[in-house]
Amino acid sequence: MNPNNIIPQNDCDELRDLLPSYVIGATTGEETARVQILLQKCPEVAAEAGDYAQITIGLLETVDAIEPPANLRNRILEQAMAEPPVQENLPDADRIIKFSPWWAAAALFIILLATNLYWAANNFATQNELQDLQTQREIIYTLLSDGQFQQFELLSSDDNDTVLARLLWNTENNELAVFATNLPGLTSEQAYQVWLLNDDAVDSAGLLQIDSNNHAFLIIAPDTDLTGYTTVAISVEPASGSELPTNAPIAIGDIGA
Amino acid sequence: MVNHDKVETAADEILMRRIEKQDNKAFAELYDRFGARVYGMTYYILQNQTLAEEATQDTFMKVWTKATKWDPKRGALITWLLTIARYTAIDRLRIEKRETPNIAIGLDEMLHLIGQTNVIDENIWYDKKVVENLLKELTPEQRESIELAFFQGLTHSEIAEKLDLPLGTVKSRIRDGLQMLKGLWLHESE
Repeated sequence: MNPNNIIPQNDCDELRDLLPSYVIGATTGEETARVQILLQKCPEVAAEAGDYAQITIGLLETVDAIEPPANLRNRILEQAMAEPPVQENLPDADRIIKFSPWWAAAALFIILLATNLYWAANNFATQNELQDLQTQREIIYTLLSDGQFQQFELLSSDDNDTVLARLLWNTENNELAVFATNLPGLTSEQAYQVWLLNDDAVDSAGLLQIDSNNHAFLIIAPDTDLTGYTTVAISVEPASGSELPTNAPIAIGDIGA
Repeated sequence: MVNHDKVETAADEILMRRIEKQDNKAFAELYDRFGARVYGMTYYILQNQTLAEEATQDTFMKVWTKATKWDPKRGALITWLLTIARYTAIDRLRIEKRETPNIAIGLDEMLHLIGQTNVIDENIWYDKKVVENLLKELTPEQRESIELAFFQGLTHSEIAEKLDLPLGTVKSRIRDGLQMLKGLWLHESE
């Protein structure tokens, strides 16, 4: 089923209205979340986002150069000498994780799954907010009903029963979203690292990013085909990550058929 | 004829590759070339010398530690620098005003979008005179709302409150203004 066939055209009109504001940063949080979902549904309109982004170059060019105070140069150079660039032993997240407009929808997916509607009904201030939440759920489920998405779970290694993380695999785009809302706390010297495994390799997929709500997520979009991996695991590693796992996985699960 | 843009981009690439290797002299060269542009941007947004200096310093440190992130295929080095400077300054501005950061489009997404366009002639936006002529086509009200969003990081609602206007008016000013600019650009590119 192609979701474009069931999403009303007025959603694309809504995106067309919001897109210019979205690109220059004028949308509110709710509008931004809405745009990021609609970008998935209306690829023709989404294609215009790059055009509006080009306009921002022009806006930047309207600002005149100003000669900075003379001592600023030395301050910056001294700080640079004192803080050499971090030599990451992991692939740079921005290099392995390509931009993907669906990430926002995917991130919303896990948050919505984690949000009990009964709780929401008692805690959201207005019916409109509740309605928005319900609408967003419906959109997410519509997305998921498309054959290109598959869901998997990573179970706790301790009891093999508790779901510690969920995976959403966009097979068409070769992207895998990892979400977790139940991971134990870490010290500042630790991080959760995600691994892709097959019979021959254990490859780092990057560190889970933790947001202010303690939701952990990572979008994996490797250059290699994800179907070449059979298993995904999460382990506790040093804060800067590790080339190979140094601890047993706390969560693990199979992907694929 | 030598394509000046290509020569400049190649020079930028060499400079940034040196910075990736922690070449302090290359970093100094980068500052000497672009420091005034970055400081001009942070000062324009913050309107305060001390804050602008701090935001400029933060911007260059981000470049120093993340030099590998610049992709010449996705836009000119100056655009990358000024976009980082804009985001850094707006973050600082909102902190100074004790406002929560706006969760609109993120820096990485913005940088990605800049590299995506179907229109051939994107160089037009690097020509300040052309840009100013295009901006003159906007109404003063459209330009004001766009500038408040782009350079002050204000949302529709915040602009409406600041200008004491209906929310719908602000939304339409921004939408219509940017759609007009896009149309003019496409026309110029033909």
